[in-house]
Amino acid sequence: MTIEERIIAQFMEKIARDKSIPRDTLRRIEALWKQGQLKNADAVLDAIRQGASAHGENPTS
Amino acid sequence: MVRIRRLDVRGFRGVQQERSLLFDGKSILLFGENGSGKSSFVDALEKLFTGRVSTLERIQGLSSDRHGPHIRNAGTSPRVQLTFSDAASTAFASDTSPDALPDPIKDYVHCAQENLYILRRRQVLQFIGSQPSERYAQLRPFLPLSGIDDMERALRATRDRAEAIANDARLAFGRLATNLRRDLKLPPSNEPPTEGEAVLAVSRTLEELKQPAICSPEDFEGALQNLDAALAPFGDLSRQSDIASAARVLGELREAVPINAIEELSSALKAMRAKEAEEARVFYEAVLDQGARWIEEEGRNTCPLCEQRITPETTIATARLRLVAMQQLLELRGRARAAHAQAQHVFRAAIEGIERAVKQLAILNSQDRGGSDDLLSRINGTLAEGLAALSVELREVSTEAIDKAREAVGTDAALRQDVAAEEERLQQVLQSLPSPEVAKALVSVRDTIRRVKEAWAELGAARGRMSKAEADLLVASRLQEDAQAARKEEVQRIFDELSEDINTLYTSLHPDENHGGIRLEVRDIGQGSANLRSTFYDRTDEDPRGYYSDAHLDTLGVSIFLALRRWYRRQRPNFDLLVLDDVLTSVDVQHAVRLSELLLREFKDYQLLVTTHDRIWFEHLRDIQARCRVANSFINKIIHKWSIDDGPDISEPEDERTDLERLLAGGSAHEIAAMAGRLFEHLLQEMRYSLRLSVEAKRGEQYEIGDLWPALYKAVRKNYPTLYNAGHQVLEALDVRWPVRNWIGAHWNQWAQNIPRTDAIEFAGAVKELFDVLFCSSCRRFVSPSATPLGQLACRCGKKVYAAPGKQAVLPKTRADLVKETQGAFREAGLDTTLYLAWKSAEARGEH
Repeated sequence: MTIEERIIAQFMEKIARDKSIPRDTLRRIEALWKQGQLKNADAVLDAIRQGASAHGENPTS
Repeated sequence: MVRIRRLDVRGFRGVQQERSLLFDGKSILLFGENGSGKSSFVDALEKLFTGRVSTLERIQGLSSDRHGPHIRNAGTSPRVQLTFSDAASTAFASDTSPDALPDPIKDYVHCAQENLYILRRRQVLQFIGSQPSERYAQLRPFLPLSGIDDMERALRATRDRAEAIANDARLAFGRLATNLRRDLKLPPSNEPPTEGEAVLAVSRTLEELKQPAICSPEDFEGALQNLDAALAPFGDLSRQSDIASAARVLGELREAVPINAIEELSSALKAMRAKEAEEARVFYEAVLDQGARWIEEEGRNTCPLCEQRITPETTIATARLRLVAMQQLLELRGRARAAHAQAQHVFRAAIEGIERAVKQLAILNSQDRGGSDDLLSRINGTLAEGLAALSVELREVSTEAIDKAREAVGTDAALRQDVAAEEERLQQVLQSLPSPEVAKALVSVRDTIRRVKEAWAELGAARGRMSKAEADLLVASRLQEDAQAARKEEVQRIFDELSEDINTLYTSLHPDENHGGIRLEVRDIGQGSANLRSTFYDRTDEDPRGYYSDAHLDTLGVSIFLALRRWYRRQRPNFDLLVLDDVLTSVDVQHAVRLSELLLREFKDYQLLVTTHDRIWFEHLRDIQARCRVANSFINKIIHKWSIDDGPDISEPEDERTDLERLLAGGSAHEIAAMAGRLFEHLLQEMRYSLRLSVEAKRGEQYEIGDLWPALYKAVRKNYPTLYNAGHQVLEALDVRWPVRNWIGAHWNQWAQNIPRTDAIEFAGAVKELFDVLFCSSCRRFVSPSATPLGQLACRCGKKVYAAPGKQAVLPKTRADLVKETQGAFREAGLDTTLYLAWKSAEARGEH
């Protein structure tokens, strides 16, 4: 595992534990990671805004 | 494992003629005095791999391109080429594309391009002395995190944009809240009104208009319906406004009738005309004035014009009276002119007032208009006729015109009553209609409640948008923070790993000293910064610069570099190059021995290029190579001298001896003398170091045969009789013949052209013989004084020994061996420095 891979893995673990991030947003961020799109600010913002529908939900659900 | 076989340099830095460092896959220890060109090889390596020499780029005004080539290398490009030790002996030069290289060498070159393998003396303290952010920047090449940088940049941009969206939403919500409070006449505040405040404010307004109050925002619509119902009896509210405007315009018209103007014109005109009739004669003001002055000033009694006799007093009085009359006439004309202009103006203004009244009355319905149209038409006709009569030059204004205008005014005066009656009629119509003020208030409240109703509905949506944008911002911020924390944790883990190794290295250099605990930390603030902390006695978590001596900072600097280099090696095991350019001499003597041993022990699996300008350290490192059992993997090279036209001389004495043998067979006298001279100078330089020859100091330490030979000859005769006895014939021969080298080998002398070749051969033979006396071909070292017994000379391996006078030859021992063997005896004898010196003095005197 390279240093970068370790950092990304740690990052994904952190956001998975982060209660302030809606689950739907988390899923979208994970999908972006797999697509190598975490360097794309537009895609990340879209993921946050689309996942924002989950704001009304219990973020831990 | 890919290693360097040879490095060829030409025309670069201090190397003019082509010079080669032959690594042959081994490490090289390179000695050369300051300015002898050692660093040129280091610079050449860096230039080859990275295209630049970092030490030149860091200084303003210097550049690798300008200052890299040799100063006499006009026109030709510098040449640097590396040959690798692979089966194909792959060569890599500055014009070689790395893509064309075999994969292992391509990988090697790629690593070398990151330039993390060279430590120069001047860079030792660079890392320690840097600011945390600069220090982090220096560590960044060791941390390949470009992908993470990209991700963090994107997350930062995401957060910034989410913040901008949230700010927009907050501002929109704030604007809405402000407008709502203003409409509800509530005190200004950034907060929107509460539901209770809004309901109360609207209810209060409704009650002022005798409208039912509301109980909740849901009642807004009902309140609007009530207001519409209250406004229904007003019908079209524009009728009141139009009638009021028409009445106002008629009032203005009534006041605009030009009675006074025409009366003034009539009066002024009559006065002017009467005066004109009275003063019907032509007179000239200038003639009267000047004539009266002549008569008066010159006392004339004749007319100045006709020369007839006059009575001066009478004539002057008459002239003065006529001048007064003329002034009065001019004033009357001015008054009439002004009255004429004013009369025209007021007639025109009255006609314009009629046009406005006509336009305004045309808006009214026919019932409201009544007989206004006819009235206005009549007034317009008489005023237009009067204006036409007045619209001529003043002198042409006739009595008829005045009468006509007066008639118009008179008619108008009569019409004024009709206008006033019409105005009064319109006012009565207006009075009969519902109050426009009440309607206006109702309309205003209705508009306000409509706005409040819309804003109230929008407020909820805006609040929702703001909440969502703030929630998005929170998520974006958390993503950025989590990414930053993940990077910092991983970098700190690497720093911890590095810190541990730095401590291992540093502690091995400073055993039993109460400091260390070196720690690299990622600072909590900022994007990337590295703190360097340490322990010093009972002080912990301190910047080492605060307490460490320069010597300790030096070794710390070296330890940090070596730890980084070792960490990088773990990531890229196939890249094993390590270059230390004159670093050892930056470390104090006490610790340099340990550093040397550490280097050869801990980095023996690296291909090293270690340079030093200190001959003692060079010899010391050679000794340590044997002790660390790495002598076979080292090549020890000496730069004998440097010249601007050639560069560093790195030839081996054995090679020079072989070349001399070849020349003795067929070379010219000049060639033989030159090569013999070169070997002679070479061995004299070596003996200067090993016998510590006493030579008169010269600027730049550029000693030549003439300086060195007398010192060697004298020292051998005086201090080393055994050696003198073994080589006395050749020593005596050379004492006579050494100038031959200069006569025919080094300089052009006309008279020396006739020196026979046999003389050159004899000189060369003597040099060769002296070389064999002083140089051991087994250990490839010149003889040097043994530590004990005093006065003995021996090579390193002991095959060539010249015993001390009166003593048996013994195998040479190193200082370390002696210390080891005698340590216990010294301790038991209670020896101190004074006794030790006394013992050495006795040994020198041959006592026991």
